[in-house]
Amino acid sequence: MEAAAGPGGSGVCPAPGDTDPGQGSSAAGTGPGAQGSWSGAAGGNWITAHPTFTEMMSLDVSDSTQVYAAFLVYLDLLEGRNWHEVQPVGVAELQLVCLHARAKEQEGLQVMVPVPAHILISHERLREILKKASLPPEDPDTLLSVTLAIVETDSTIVYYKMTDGFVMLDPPDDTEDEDNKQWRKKRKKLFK
Amino acid sequence: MAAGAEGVPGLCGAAEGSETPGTPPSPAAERPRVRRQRGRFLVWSPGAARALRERHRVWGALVGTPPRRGPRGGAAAGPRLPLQLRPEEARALRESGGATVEPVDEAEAEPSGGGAGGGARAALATPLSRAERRSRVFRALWGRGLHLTRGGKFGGDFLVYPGPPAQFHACAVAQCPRSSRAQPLGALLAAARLCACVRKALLLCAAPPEGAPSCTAITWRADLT
Repeated sequence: MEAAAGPGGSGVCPAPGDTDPGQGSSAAGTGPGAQGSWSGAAGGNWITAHPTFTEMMSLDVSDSTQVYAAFLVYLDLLEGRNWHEVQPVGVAELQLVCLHARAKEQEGLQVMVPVPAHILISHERLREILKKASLPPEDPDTLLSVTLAIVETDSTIVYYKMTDGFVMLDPPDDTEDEDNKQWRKKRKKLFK
Repeated sequence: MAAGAEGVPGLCGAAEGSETPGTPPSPAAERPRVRRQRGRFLVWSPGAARALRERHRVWGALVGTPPRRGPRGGAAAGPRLPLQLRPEEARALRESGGATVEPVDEAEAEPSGGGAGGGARAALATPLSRAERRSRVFRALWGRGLHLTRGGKFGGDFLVYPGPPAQFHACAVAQCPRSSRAQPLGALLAAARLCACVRKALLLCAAPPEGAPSCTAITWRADLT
């Protein structure tokens, strides 16, 4: 329930020394990340043989850890969420593999930036990603934005939108429904 | 509560009837007086406190005697004067001519412009202190017509309101990180998740001396749960 109810992803990231994209692949027959770390990030025969993974690696803009994160996000969007279109795009200036994706055929392209959760990152770097990975908006009044897809070592992915400028959130869709839902939960708990 | 997930490209319109930097400062005799005492910026006059809040959008915090509890305390309940301003609030008012800041005694020196001493070269090489970053960001956001209060309860530097805090919920929690300092992504996630749970956006703000102020909003993608 916890994972479905709100934004997932852990707030605690392992020390950078725990993750080493330079290590070899994991033992044959084990999946990627099976040892609880990303030491086998590019391990697992089916992943390394997947044409999209090899396409991402051939872009030659990023290391295997970030490519692996990008591949997981690719699978999550295309296979897990049935998005209409997900294309890997190499951004050499950022040394990142990003994804240009469309949830439905009629919708516009969104830029997803996969990043491993254990990295260190500065505000400057976030601004750089925002400026260089975003697509020019169709409406000139629209703010530049990308979506950070943050991938944990257990392959959990949490998505946060990053926008250049000041943003105010929408109010709840239906306050009455929310109140009723909370009341039903509370009542269920009281009468257990 | 302000509605709509609007992106405001850098500028919000100033509230009606509120003063913003750039308007001619009031005559000295009419300006609210802020007293600097033992390193704290205090406003003792009810009229001045009201003027700062209603005309200048500077909210401070009432730090007087705690409210009395019980039936006899009903008439005296509620926070009291003096109004204490943060250093960035006092500085913004002083620089814009919105208020006069007076030391109570000669031992209270005027706050410096921030940054290390030792010449221009040293000032450029030294990263801005946290106080200086906060002060610049406060000035940038306040100058755009927004209302700001303390953000400590939500792990930030400021709470940002589109209108008077008495009438609006805060729409964002602003942080002023050192731009070049790399931090664990998990810390950003923790702050962003907290903001998502309280229905506010996380704003990462910077106002460098040599560049334009910038704001990066981080909001949770509820459609991708």
